[in-house]
Amino acid sequence: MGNVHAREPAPPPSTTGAGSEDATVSLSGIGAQVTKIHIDGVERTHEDLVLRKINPVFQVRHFEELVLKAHEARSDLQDLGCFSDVSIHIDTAEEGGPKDYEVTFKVTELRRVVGSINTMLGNQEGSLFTGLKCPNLQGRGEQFQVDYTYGSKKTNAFNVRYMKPFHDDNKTILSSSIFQQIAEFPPSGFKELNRGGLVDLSFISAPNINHNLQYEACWRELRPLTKSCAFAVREQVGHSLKSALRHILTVDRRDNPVFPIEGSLFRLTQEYAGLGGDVGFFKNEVWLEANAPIFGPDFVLQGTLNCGLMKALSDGKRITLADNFYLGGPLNVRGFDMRGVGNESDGNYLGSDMFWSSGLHLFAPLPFRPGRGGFGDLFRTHLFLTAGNLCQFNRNNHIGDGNRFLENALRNFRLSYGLGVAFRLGGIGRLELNYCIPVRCERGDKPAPGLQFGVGVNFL
Amino acid sequence: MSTAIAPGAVTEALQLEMGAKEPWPEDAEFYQPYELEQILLPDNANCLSVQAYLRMCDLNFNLRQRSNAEHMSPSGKVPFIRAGKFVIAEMDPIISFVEQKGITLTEHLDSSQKADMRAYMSLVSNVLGNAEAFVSWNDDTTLSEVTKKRYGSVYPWPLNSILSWQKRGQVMRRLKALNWSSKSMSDVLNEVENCCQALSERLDNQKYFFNNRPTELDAMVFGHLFSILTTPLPDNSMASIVRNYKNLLELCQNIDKEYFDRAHATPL
Repeated sequence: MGNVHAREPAPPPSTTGAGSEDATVSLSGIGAQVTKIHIDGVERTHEDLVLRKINPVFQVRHFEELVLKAHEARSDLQDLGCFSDVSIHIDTAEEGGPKDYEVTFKVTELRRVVGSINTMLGNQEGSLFTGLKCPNLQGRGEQFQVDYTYGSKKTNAFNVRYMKPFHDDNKTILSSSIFQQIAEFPPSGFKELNRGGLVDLSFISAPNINHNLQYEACWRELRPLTKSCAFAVREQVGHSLKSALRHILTVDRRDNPVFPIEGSLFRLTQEYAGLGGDVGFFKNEVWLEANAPIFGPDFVLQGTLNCGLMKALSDGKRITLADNFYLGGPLNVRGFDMRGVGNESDGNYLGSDMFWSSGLHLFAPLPFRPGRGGFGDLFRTHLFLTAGNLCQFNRNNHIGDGNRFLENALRNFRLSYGLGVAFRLGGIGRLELNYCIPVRCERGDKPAPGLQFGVGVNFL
Repeated sequence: MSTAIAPGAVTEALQLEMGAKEPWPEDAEFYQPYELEQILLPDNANCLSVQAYLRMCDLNFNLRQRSNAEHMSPSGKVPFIRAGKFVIAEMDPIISFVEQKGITLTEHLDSSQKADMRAYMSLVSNVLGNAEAFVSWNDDTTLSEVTKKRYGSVYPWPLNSILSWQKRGQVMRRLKALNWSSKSMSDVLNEVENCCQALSERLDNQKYFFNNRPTELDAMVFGHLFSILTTPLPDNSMASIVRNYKNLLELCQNIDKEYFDRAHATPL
């Protein structure tokens, strides 16, 4: 397509003064108007998409605004998912008055095809990941992605995903994928082979308020992990089909997703399974997180609450082990083994249809601040207190019967505390090494006092 | 994070050895697919064989019907039993498990009779077992009118078709490995005829195959023949062949009456 040249039809009349006589020059005092914008490096990205993003640059009145608008346009262009790099060059116009400027955006488009190969060793298995990505497939930021994992234990997994952004005010993104996944759950004694498809519509209804509307159809096959798994697990193995609608509401007002200093996060996940298929339930899960700095920005107090409730549908559809809630492990109630809280049968943890868990953290920088302003900022120390309970949602005890419901939820709750070091992994993940002391546990639980290591995205 | 370490094969064998000394538990359970709407002819024959065997041994069990019995089974085949901590699938392992507890139906046999019995048992499972699988999964009319409907009856659409198709692939691969897939229906019926002929000659006019006392061979013959006779199929030529052997029919009726004490014996 070559370069995009755009010209403002009629220069607006100047309203600001010609300049200031102070020694410090106020940029907002310098009148400016943009007469020309060049865009270099556009090959397959559609013109209208780029034009929409750079249009505000034409509306500027003075130089400061010009710089700000140009930067906004730059980050907007980068968010399109079409360019790997965008740089700005602002110059005076060759022909025209002293207030006329030309802006050049130099963009580098993403490659047509990006491939990757990784290997991983773990879980008593070696795996090979291969991925293929076609960014900006049709020139409007569409993305097509294929991932394939080959495991040495014949655990092949794949995911094929197509994503299309609409670039409207609601930031609507439609994506659909088909997948095959394998997951093993040693604490629960089963493994799960999932094959299915997912359609996801993501949009915002107000700034920071994000919605995901999803439909998922998933054929699940549960198998016993070992010959000695609990009979209660064996009773639930076999094939099932889940066909579910899901709505995820996320209100994220935190300043950072991994180590926020202030702000809160609210996420409500509602899932209705039972549109066809033989699995039926209505599942609600809430995630709350609040952060506040105390004694300056270095010390942050964080409180979290995560709870879920699943109701069976009365039309003979079933709930399987794959749908249940589980509790315990380094990501939620620390000081317990993974899934090592409650509802145990012959050493396997079966999960339940109701749970709550809560955490209180005090984050601080590393003592004596080694590597300040650099590597050291990736670390935090924290003191924590976590509690939670996995309970049977008794169908006879309706939620309306508040006291008994609360009593059921609080009876025999688990509690642990400890301290540790957290490390930021990339922009989203976290790695934690903690010393944990479980305080309250029940028979059948698997408390894990001492050092515990965890890596993940969503930490309680 | 921790991973549960699976008990090794040695521990498992040891547990089996130790647990086997315990007496037969009162709450033993026998698992099979739903008899009325789900079970297929080959599975029904195996389930009935094991049931007859346990009843001949005078061992109590509770019959449990599960739609996922096949997947619950450690070997992937029905039937299986749960006795205390043990889960054991299929006829031969169940027989050896029972024998470890000192219960046997073959103490009155000498060694040549035992060898004979084994030979006939493998004849029955090879010929009748494969013929049942062949009729169920390779005969187009039976496949579409009976097998697919029954096998898929416990699954929602579209899993019912996918899983039937998958199962058919498994069965056909096994039949192919045994050189049965190239046979025609009349070849198969011929095999069944020969098998029945051999069984009928061995039985002659005794009450049971050996020494007028029941053995696992009787249980097995009963399981297969009774299933063939009572399962309604579009093509009932297998049942008509069996019906020609009066002494085999009598054997089935005897066992049905004696060990299954149904209110009224099923007319064969």
